[in-house]
Amino acid sequence: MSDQTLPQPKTAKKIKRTPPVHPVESESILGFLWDAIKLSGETISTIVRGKFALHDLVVQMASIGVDGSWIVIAIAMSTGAVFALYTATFALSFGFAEAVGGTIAYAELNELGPVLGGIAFAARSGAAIAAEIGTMVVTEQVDALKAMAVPPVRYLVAPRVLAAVIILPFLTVLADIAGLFGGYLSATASGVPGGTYLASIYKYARASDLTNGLIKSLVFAFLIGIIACLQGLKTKQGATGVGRSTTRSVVLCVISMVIADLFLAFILKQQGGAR
Amino acid sequence: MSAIRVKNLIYEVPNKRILNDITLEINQGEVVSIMGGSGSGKTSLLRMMSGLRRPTSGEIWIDNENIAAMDDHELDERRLKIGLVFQYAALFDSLDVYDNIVFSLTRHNRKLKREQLDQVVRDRLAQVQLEGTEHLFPSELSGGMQKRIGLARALATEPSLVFYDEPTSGLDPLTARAIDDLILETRKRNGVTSVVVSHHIPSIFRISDRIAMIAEGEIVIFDTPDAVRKSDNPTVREFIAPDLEKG
Repeated sequence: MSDQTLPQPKTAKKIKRTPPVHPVESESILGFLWDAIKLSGETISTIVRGKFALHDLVVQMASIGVDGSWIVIAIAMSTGAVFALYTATFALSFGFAEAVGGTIAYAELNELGPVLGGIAFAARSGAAIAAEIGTMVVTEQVDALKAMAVPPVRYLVAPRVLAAVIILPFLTVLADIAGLFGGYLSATASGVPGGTYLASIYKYARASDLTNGLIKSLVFAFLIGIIACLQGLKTKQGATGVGRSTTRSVVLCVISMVIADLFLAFILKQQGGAR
Repeated sequence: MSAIRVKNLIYEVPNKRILNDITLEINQGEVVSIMGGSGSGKTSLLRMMSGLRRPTSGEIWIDNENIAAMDDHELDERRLKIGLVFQYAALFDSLDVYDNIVFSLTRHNRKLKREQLDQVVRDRLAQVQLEGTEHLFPSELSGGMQKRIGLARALATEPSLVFYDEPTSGLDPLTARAIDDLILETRKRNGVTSVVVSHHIPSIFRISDRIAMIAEGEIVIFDTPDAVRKSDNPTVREFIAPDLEKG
């Protein structure tokens, strides 16, 4: 155990440190926020520099897109139908049935489609991401990645976040269509003529309603991807920890989406001006 | 010639010092076991030597480079020369055996052809005596098989240094012996330096050229198996005596 043959250190005692990307100690909201900002920066840098495998992106898109689409359609269609039922009943009482389709489209494209699509996406795909990465952490698979010089951000985070950002706008369009279709069925059943419903959409809906919703869905997708991945990476304490991470992921995704929606609604409304 | 030199290594977590002033030197081609009770700090030492955890202070020299002073990017380049076999194998459960073994190769060298990858998989599976398991998923393998595939994966990049974290824990005596043989065979065939963290005394004495024992964060002995067996250090005797008396 002699140390006489040890070479002189290049850097005596002082250890060059890079701050850990995912410090598991920070449990406070501010700590989580700081970790999320750092992970976002690293993820965007990885995506922009193309430092991830296309194959991983395709696998994630298939996983979160195809599997998640039915739940989005089901939620959007039923919500659109219920919303149209109340709107049609109210509108028919006061004699402005020609506004029902436009009202449904305005709400669906600006708010219901992106928000309900986002919530369904967070509950289904965000939870799956957090659980999968959390399980990989507690079974040392993430350590195995690091040991093989594959940064977890490249293999796990960047493909999932980018897949979410690509897929959620498509799911939002699906949710919009499903919501309007559900609204059509419900409105016509309530006594609004089908032609009137469709003409109202044509007359009152604007392209900006659709783009506003898509802008929201892009922001929601990024938030869901980052929060779910970070929550997975911060998992501790075995199966219990995976469950806790999954639950926290869904809660934090929904809360952050609702807060972001509030700001985005005001910003996009100001950009769009009066109707 | 030294493969690893650890000098004055200290590792602390909040309110606790896990490793205190560890200094040791491991020669190329040696099989060195690090033993100690649960919580003694042996796994922390292995994780620092393999670059997975950073020490609070001190130096870890591998191939005359102090990996403790490297940033993550520099460390990633060195990690390719290091193989790590995890306690519970840590195979990627979404990938089959084939993709697990070639994972590191395909991530770092996209120009490798399918035939080359096939050859690597065939060689490594033959080495761990699990031919024909290429298309099985980790969930279809027993614990012992998973550990062997973990070794095959660690050897895929032909590292000069392999770390084993509790390679025989949770295995029956026959499977544990097979893993021991595999560690020795790997050293013989690939000439790698092996560092084994374990508290399985019979395995340690069977495979090791030298044994280090850690207790309360400090090395209490680092010597040949014979010298450790004859040691009159009470901590060492208390730790190894029950197993040695058994057999």
